[in-house]
Amino acid sequence: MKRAIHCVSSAVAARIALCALIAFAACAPTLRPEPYTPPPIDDAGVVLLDAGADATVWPTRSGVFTHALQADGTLVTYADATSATLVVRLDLDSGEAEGTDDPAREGSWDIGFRRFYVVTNGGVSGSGPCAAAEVQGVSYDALVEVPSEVVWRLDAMDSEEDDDAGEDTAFNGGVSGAEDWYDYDLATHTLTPRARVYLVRTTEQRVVKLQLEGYYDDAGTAAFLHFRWAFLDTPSTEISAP
Amino acid sequence: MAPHATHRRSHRALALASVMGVFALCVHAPGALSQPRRATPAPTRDNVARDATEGDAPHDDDEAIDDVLSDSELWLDRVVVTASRGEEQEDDSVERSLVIRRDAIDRSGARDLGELLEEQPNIRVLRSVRGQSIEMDGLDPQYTLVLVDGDRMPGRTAGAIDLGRYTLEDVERVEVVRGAASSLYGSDAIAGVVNLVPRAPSAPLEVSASLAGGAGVMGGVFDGSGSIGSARGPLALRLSFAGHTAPSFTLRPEPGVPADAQATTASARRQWSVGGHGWWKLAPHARADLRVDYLQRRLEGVDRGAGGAVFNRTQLGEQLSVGTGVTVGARGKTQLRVRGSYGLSREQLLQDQRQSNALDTLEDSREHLGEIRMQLDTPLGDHLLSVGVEQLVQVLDAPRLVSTGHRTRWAGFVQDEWTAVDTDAVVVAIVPGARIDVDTQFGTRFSPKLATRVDLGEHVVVRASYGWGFRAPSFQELLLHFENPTVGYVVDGNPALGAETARSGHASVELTPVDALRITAGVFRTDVLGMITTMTRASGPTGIQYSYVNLATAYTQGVDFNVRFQPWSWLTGSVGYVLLGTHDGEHDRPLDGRPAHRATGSIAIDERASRFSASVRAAVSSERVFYATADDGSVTRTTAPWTAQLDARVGYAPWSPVEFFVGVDNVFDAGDVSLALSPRTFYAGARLRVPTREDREAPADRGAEAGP
Repeated sequence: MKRAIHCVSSAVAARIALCALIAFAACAPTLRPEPYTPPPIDDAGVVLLDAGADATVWPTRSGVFTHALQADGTLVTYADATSATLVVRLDLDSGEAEGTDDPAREGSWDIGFRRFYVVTNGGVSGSGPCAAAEVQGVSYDALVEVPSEVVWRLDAMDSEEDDDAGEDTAFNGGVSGAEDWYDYDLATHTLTPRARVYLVRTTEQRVVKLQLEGYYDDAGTAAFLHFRWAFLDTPSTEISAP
Repeated sequence: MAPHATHRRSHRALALASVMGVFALCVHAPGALSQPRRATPAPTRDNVARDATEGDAPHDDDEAIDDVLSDSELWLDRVVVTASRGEEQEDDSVERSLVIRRDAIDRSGARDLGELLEEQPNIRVLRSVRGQSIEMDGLDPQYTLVLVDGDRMPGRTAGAIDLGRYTLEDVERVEVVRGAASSLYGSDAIAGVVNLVPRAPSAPLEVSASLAGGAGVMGGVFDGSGSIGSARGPLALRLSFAGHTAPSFTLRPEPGVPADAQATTASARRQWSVGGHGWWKLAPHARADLRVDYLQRRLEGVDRGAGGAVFNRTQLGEQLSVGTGVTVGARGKTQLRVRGSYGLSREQLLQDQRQSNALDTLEDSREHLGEIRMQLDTPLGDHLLSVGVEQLVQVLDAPRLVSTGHRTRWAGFVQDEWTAVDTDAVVVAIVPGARIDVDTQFGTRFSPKLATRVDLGEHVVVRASYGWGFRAPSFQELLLHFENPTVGYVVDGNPALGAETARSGHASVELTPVDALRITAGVFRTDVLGMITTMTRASGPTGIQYSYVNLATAYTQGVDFNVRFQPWSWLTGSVGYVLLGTHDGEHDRPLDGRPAHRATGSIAIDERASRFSASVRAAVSSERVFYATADDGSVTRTTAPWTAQLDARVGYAPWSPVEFFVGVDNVFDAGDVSLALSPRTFYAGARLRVPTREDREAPADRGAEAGP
């Protein structure tokens, strides 16, 4: 009898213990990220740009674009191009962002960004007259006027030869990304800008020199492009076929 | 199977026959090598433990304990269960298993399964931010099946089970079987099977506890564990707990990066677990058991993403595992086993970006894995026939999957262990087996295997085996949708994937010139076909799209040598060497990071008269080659240097139930980013065990000091 009672009590104790163990299941708390509050941006501030003869008042921020005037007078623009499908568009002549929901891609925008793809308002990308060209053999600082011979490129359909999925432009294209504005490290999936200088012809027939300087913001978030740029004094009058 | 096999093996002294290609060596308990091959049926540890719970013998507790101990100490050190999916004597097994028993576990100082296995031959333990994984015979972690008491566990991450999940406080032994074992176990058993066999109590009260702390350059470590068990009448129960903390570490700091923003090579770990296992003798030849384990593990580290993004990464994992089974039938006769298990694995992965919320992600994944199986073993003359059926249900709900993964798999297997020749000079055993798996996703998979063992006298055993294996595609490979936010490439799963298949062959010769010495030499090769790899599927509006296909191939092959020795009962040791060759068929080059040469060794001293024990374990790996493909398709080859790992531990037991110990892990401070070993760590602690080993051995009155 004693033995039977002992066995029963042991069995009950075992069951209680096992039930207690089961109760632990899925008892871990749910994790939450700590929210980060970015420092405020002074929207009231403006950037003055010396556009040659005329001084222009620029907004500090317009849409997903933020402009900043560096100490050396260089204008740097930051673009949030994180959308995988929408092109964010900028009117270089005014510094204003344009809507991304324009299916006809009309308007006065000059340059657009979708992650690492850079397009201009011309060719297959837009209805405008814009085009772009890479300038070789000269640094950004040394480029002070539009070269006499520029081979402008209009945006074209994606070719089968390259391995990307975007339009072929002055900024993107070529086999294995040879004409891309960036180097891509396959091992770390990191984009690093190449030291390439570009010209962009705007809808107002002005010419901008432009160099892409980064693909990440200060926190390392991808597709926050930033580039320095300035108007050149001598506008080009003809756009050659790509 | 073994209980049935032993009745006919009993008249043949040494040998059995059959082969599987496992001759890996183990750190043996003292006396293991000197134990003679026996000519009487051998009770197994599990049976002994279960017999201890039997209520049909009219003796009091002390008498029961004496009976149990005398039996268990005679035989328990020699039982294995994994190679043949049934109990059998280790030396009689058709396949040689690597067996690490309780005493060796204690002496090793290992805190978890990863630490225990990392200096074993043919095994490498790989560390990453997601924990520790096993590479066996040069094959990736997803090709090794990890079991707990024979039950399949959920919670693979990137194909690998984190070995750090498995603490060892309630483990009696760890068995490792190399080579394809899908003919018995089904999916994932390509490189081999690792099985943690639980420790069953055999006394009215058993208590063990261990407390240890230590420190290295990366910070402090703490480890505590304990268990309490009791075997009374028809019941036996063991409850156990464990806690473990270890800091993160960074092996190669990035220049110019602040210390708190350095990417961690391995994560900080905080882990605790509780478990219970009960055994119940239902009738003279019927017993049942129930096992419940729960573990919670928190891994924390720092990741650096492309472009310098810094993430505080937290992985909070929890696993619940329940297994229960009933065995009906006496040893040596027809025996039926029915077992069911359920596992829940929940994994939360939080990536909290510093200085921004843009890339914060939280993924909460839950996997359910249920299995029920039935196996019937029956002796038929010179044959031991085993047949079984299984059903597996697996469900995975994860954010990156386009839908909840769900699969059901039915399987049936049969194995015949046939003693074809049985003479004084030669014993030949042949073991054909096959299994069919029918899966709702990939269809039918047939896994045959043929193993043989030839005993030439008492000193030579030749083993050989050849089998097919397979690995079911993971739900990630089937249903993933992942988009890289940096450059926009997309990886999509492929629901049409088939299972990966493998052909695996092992052969070995084992010489035992004297009981204190065993020399083994072997060869092995495993070909993996239809390996799942990524390939470009198309270019879409968001970038290149990749998917998975069964296109890659690979093989690993090698030669290995092992010597185990035990010149005196207090000294055991082993040395091993593996020459490994690999080939990546997809890229036509060797597999990344495999050392061509690897040597292992261990020495253990357990001198009871002076209450002193010591152990040293070492592994030396040759250079490892890694390949990196650049954007333009060019391949860069880098070489990681030789690595020497050494762990040492010394123990002293001033009083019988208590032992104090000190040790050093990774004495040479080896490791680099390609082989993330924990930096050198010093530790010290104390262990309590009741009843003591002397208490357990006293009734048997064996000559512990007898030499070979």
